[in-house]
Amino acid sequence: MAKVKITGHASGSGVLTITAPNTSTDRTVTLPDSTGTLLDTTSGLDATKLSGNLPAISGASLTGVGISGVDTWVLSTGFTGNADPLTANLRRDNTSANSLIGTGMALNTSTGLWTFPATGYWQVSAYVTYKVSATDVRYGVIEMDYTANNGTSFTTPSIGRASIANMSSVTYTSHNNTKIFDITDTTNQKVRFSIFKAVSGMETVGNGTENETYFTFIKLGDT
Amino acid sequence: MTYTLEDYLVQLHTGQWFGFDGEHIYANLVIHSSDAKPSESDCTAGVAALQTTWDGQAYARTRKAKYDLLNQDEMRFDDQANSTTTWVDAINAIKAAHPKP
Repeated sequence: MAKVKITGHASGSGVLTITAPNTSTDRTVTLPDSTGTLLDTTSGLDATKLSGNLPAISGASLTGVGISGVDTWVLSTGFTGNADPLTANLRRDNTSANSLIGTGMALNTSTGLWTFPATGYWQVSAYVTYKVSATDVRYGVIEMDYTANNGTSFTTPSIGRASIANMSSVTYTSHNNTKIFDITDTTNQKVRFSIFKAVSGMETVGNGTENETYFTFIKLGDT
Repeated sequence: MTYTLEDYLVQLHTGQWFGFDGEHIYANLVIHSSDAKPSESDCTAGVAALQTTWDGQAYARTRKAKYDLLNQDEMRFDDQANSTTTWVDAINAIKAAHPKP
């Protein structure tokens, strides 16, 4: 038969008392068949010791999870011809129920460089609307340029293209360009946008109150 | 279509040469480039000219829409085969219904 041994502590002076609850039912407490310390309401438990199915947990009680960065910028004034890069007439979305989570992006209006407010996996999207009157346009291009050295050199990892067939009057088209970046260095890793057109008279549509040409930045998670 | 100040300005120069500090009215017009700022009277006249040109082409746009509803190639072929004038008659009817001002 296994035995139960209770041993006092050589240094302590307190008295350890084991008390019974107020019950009339016989109970048996089985001690674990391993070496360790029993948990109480003040104990910590290493997460690696958890196993099995967790109960449903309210997200309201959690911190540090979910989307932590969202920002949207809008082209407020249209232009014809190219923008290489896009630098001017960009405003943070301030229309209906707009969302800004976190600090938001910072735009350098001289270089067109966008600085991320925090490291992480960022989804960058450009949505561009064009209009032209009574002519075909072979292409409009929205390029997403990336630099890893704060603008010393660039690559163009993502390109969106669109074309317009003449509809005899003012004709519109839109297109999208989305890429996800792993940003580990906000000082040097940045993006910028450039717009090129086959016909200089094609207008990139800006709007002071509505989103027609706009750019969204969403932090998907930590890097 | 109603033309705006922005519609006029984008035709003057290419690129992001202008913008607005607030509502898109002349008082808020900002020039980003070295281009000269157009006068308010020039802008007013320019917008009016665009509108006049557009409005003056209303008959042409209507005609074009009506023409597009016709199967003109087939009409011309049938006229050739049958010695009829359905195509010319249809075109003339559209022109008469939407005369050039």
